[in-house]
Amino acid sequence: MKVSRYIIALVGSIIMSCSNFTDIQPDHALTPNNAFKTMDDIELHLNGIYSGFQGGGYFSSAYGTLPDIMSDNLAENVESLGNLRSTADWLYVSNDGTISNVWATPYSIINDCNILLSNVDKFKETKTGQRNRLKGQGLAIRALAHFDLLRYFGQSYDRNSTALGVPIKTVANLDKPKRSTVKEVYDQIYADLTAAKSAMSSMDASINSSVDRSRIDGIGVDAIFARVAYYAKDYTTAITKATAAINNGGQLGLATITDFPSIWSSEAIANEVIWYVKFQPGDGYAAGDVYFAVNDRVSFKPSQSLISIYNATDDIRYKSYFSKTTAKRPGEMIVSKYIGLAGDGLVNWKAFRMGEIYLIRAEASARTNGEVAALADLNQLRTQRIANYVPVTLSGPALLTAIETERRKELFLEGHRWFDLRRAGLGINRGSDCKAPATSCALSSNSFRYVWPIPQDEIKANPNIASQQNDGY
Amino acid sequence: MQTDSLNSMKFSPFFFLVILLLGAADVIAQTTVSGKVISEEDKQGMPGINIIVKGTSTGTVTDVSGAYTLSVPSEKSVLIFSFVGFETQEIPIGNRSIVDVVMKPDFKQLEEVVVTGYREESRRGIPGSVAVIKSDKIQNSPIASFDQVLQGRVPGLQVTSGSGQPGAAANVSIRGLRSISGSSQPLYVLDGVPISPGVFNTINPNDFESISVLKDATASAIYGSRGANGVIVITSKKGKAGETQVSYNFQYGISYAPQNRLQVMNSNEKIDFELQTGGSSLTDLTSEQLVRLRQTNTNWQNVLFQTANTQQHDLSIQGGNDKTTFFISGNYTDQQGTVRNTGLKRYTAKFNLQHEANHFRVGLNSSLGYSKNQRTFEGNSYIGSPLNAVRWSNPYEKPYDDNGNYTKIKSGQPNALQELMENHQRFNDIKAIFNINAEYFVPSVEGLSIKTSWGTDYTSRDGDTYFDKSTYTGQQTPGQSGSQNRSNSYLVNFVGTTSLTYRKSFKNDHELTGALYHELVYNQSKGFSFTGYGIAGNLKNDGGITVSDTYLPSLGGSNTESSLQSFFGEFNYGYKKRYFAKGSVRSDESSRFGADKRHAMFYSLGLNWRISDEAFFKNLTNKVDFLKIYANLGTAGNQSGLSDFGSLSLFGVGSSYDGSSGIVQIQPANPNLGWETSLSINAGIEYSVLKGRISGSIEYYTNTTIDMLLPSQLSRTSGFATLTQNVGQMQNRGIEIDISANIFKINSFEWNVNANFTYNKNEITKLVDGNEIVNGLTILKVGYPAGTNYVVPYAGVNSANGDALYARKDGSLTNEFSSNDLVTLGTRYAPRFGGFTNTFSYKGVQLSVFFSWAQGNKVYNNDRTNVENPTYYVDNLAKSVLNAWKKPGDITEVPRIQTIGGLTTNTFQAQTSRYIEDGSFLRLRNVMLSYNLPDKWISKAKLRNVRIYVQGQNLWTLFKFQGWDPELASGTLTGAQYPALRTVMAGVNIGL
Repeated sequence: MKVSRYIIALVGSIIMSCSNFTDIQPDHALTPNNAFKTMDDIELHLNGIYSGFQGGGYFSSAYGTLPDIMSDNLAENVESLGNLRSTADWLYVSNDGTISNVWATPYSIINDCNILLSNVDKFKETKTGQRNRLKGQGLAIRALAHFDLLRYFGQSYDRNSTALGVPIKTVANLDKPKRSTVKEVYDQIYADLTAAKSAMSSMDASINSSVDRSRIDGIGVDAIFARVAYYAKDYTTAITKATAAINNGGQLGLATITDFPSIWSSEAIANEVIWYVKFQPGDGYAAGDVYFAVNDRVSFKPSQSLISIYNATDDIRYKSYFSKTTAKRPGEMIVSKYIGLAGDGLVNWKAFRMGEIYLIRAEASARTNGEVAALADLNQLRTQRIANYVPVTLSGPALLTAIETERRKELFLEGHRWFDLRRAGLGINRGSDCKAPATSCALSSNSFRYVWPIPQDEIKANPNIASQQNDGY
Repeated sequence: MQTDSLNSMKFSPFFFLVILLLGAADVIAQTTVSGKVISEEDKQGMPGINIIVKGTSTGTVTDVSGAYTLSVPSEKSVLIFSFVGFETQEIPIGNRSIVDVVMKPDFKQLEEVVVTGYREESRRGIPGSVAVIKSDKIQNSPIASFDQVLQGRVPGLQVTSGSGQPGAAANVSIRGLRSISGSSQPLYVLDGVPISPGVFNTINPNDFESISVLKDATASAIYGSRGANGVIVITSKKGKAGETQVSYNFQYGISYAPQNRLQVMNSNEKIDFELQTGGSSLTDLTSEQLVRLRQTNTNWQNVLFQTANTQQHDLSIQGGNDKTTFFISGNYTDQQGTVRNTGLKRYTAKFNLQHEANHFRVGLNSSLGYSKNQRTFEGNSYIGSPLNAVRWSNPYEKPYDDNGNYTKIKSGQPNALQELMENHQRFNDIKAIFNINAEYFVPSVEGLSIKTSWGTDYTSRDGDTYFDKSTYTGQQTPGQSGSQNRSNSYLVNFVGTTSLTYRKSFKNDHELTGALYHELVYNQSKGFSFTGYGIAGNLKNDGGITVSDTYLPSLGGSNTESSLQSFFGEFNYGYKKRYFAKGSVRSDESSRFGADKRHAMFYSLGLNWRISDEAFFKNLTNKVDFLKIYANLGTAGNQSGLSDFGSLSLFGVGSSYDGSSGIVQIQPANPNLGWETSLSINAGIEYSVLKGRISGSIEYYTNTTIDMLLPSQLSRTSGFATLTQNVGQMQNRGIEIDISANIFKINSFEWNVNANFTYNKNEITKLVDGNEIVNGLTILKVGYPAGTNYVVPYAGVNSANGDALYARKDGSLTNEFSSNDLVTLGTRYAPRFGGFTNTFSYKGVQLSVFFSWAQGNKVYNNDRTNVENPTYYVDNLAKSVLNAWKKPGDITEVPRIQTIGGLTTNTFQAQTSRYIEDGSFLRLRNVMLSYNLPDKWISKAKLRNVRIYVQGQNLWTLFKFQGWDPELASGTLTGAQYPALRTVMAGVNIGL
């Protein structure tokens, strides 16, 4: 019959034409099926991991400027939009958005490291040693991210402390881990750094070059290790690793007085910088929270207590870090350290540089009966920073105080002050720098606020961590 | 209700019979009768009217002019004139040879044919809730986006305008919020083609014939995994057979912005405040400089706003014969915004064509639109948004200096006028909607037809955002020399539906319609954009872009697709024209579903009983002329919460580092991801009493969203914050009442009222792991509605020391703000809403007054927190801050101002009940006065009709909210509000 032919044709055409109509794969994003097929894809993955350091949850704010904003180095200015006031004035509670982001960002980096480390053994190398080069960096980054988390959230910095550290993640999954002890976290970091260094001993190509130090290489691993051990009060290791970083085969050293300004002003490496996080147009700004060069907004001013400790005439750091003569703000003391080459705030973030390593070794030596070596490191650094410097002789507490002060001068706005105050067991007193709009002027040395709260969103999502909140929150 | 001849054919089975028997009738003819059938409404001849001689099978239909000639057996014969939507008339011929008839619309309006998704159905048989908005309610509205016009028109349909920006779409939901992660926007279908929601600025609502709002399961289940939020089915105008009719409409008017309820300080107040508070740069000024400063007192609202012009030209031509009809229209709309440098220009064209031949019927519906839209930022708290500056800019600042240059604002904030005038955000849209369809009536099997319909909705958007290097936003760019973004994107929705329909009546008592469908739906969204910097020379477009290391442009492209393949069927069964049943089943296979959940099945069943047609009801029909009760249940899905590739683990390329690209994971795998299912149960009555003077409906419904998608919180140690999972459950229960009444009709004066009311109770019944989900200032909590505010109760000011006080859960007061004291406080979505219209008519004059309202929601005014936080004194503050506590004993609601550092307690807090406000409003949405010029005047000018009118939109609003406008799309005012336009228009309709 005629009708049935129509129906058959209709139904037939439908079924024939559409058997895979709903099978659509994304073409502007990758899936596990096509994301990683060769070692070159792993290179891209590593590059993506490095870009994670540029965000507000890492070096553009959290581990960059925030440790100085929370300290006595900076004073909030009336032009501030107040976005960081809860951290600047230690008013944070567990649902603080900034803190939430600072918790999540390193773990996001760790997740990608874990995926990279699980893929890196799967593919054929283009050249022997490629695998080691990628694996070494993945391990080093995973170690650094765990360590940075420990710095804000860990209850103790001591190497063998059984106090609560942070959860350790070495596998990419959606598990809900509890906090490990500080010791366990250090064990993981030490293991990763050791493995990283070992992998980097046999690579297809060097990671950095004389004109580009945007990645963590062997010197970088030593530098990270030195900082980690220094926090852990494992001074022997700190000295060993700092020495390894300093004796790096002659590539790097302390910048001279002449070269020092160029570290900040012209992006020259000046032999001093071990690892910088590169910021290019579109990547955001490394230190925007303090002075927004682009729209000339001073959110935080350098404190008088900081300015006053420099020798304004002879100390090259004073001239490199501060300015009263910027075109837009003549006569006003602002932080000019990160204005950058074009004056627009676009500048690389110096994550590790030699000045810090000398100071780590100096303090570690001083605390392990090595005052002579300590003094030598201190004098050597000062000679490269202060014109007409005459080496001094110090010992005992005076030497330690001098090293601490030197750290404050040398490492201003490089992500250290808050942690240095905490490690030294000092309080914060902003004194006469404390003016409106700041609302908090002092933090006692034993304040619970020195250990940040585990973010509320983590506590709610993760029953295993719910009972492990830090004290006071 | 007018219906074209094609529809009558479809729904009057005996129409075929009539045609077949025409020849036979001639043979036995004895007397000839002729005449003309006209419509009572427009006095035009009506083609296609069925005429049969009572008691015989003799009959005819009227021709295109409404004329007929019929041979009848005798003078005693009675002619029956019938047409769908009109009263059937029985007229004895007597000794007349000419019988003219005026067809009256069926006063029971409930007999009409309505579009319910894929088909048209007689309203008689529908066991559920379909509301229809006719073209006269949409026509000539001074609002560009038609969804905004629907506010208050239909029970259950909640429309929140949100923005007065020309062309901005509204927030539309049917019977409450149905989804948390997904959208609650209904599915929009125009002439069988699903169209993108929220992109209506390039569609001309004057082309719409009717809008059907499908609310319950029997109506929306047929749309399967896209039907859960209800469906809005739009039918465009089709030509009518008969004389070609030309209609021209012109209107012109002005719009202006309302006054803001949130008052800010004037110059003297602000200067005094800053001087008293300290820390301000004003303290450095000499008294002489201060005196001069006080002389400036800028009202920034006046600087940025304007009285705007709107005009619209609309021309349509329609006509045809009994085989072919057409409708052609063109429209030009030019609407300026009340904010300077904003507006919409729109050009549209429409062409609809229907043709029938032998057993075929074919149709083409097409519309093409082009719009140019210029907008400004809204709905944010960005300092670069000019609309924020209305409150933030200090009154002692001027937009221009004495030389006529833009002032550099001392606080470091942008000059709002400069931002508004020197920057621009434009987009030009092209929208094309096409549908072609063909239907074949299988001749050998009566009642069987095959139809196939293929259509597309294509929208392309050319975006152009320019930030001038002189502006604040232009300096926030790499190289600080302005930026130019250009983007081009298109959205395409493609649908092909093929169906087999069978209708049969048997033994007179049984009527059956069954239909089987196959459908393919494909959506794609693709685009690219670039942003260039370093705009050089005096060019203000991409011609001025510099490409260098400093001015590295950014580039990008995107593409995403989804598809759906479905098989479905539905049936209608009627018994004795009193008992009806309707049911449907649909199976959807969607590319969006997770690998483990590819297929979804949905169903519905409804029953309908027309009690008033029962024999036992006969005695009541003088009081109650119509009564119908119905009930239905069914399921439908919502897949809007699923992104196109939401179930897959995804890696993105785009995180570049050190000059080369990088890959990172951007989404974890989610193989169990599925659609949300809405189970709805609906019951109601429709009635008409006192010979149709009062009619209406009452309905009760419950909708339960099961498998509701929620962002299940992940441990952040996983690298991700949330994973969307089908874990929640939410319920909407409500009642809808619709009533129309003819209050009185004396001689030519008539007063009609239509009112509708909806109460919807939303309640979350299940959440993930039983946890509450706190989302900033709102909380999702079992037993509470979605959008519940979550704040600390503000308890005023301690008159002894000026501290802000907060209520603890135990009732005690404290001056310490603590998140432990957060409580739930009302919902942001109004549970009660509606509209009412009064229409007065006298001869050719008609006055219609339409109000819409919403009541019972609590909104959050973030905008107010920004001008009541005294630490933001660098910018202007609310006048209310002047009432701050100053000395012990002061009784005030505003805590003391903290002038110096050193105070770590009792700082300003925004998450308190102080900023929760009543969102209720009653709005005079539209008032229209029109006059139809008398026939004797216009007939001389050879015109069909002339109507002149004036109308006002949003002329008056009653509300308490501290802002311009109480209508907030998401129940919170973040900032930068673009208030609804108040518009007055005058216009003329000319028909020839």
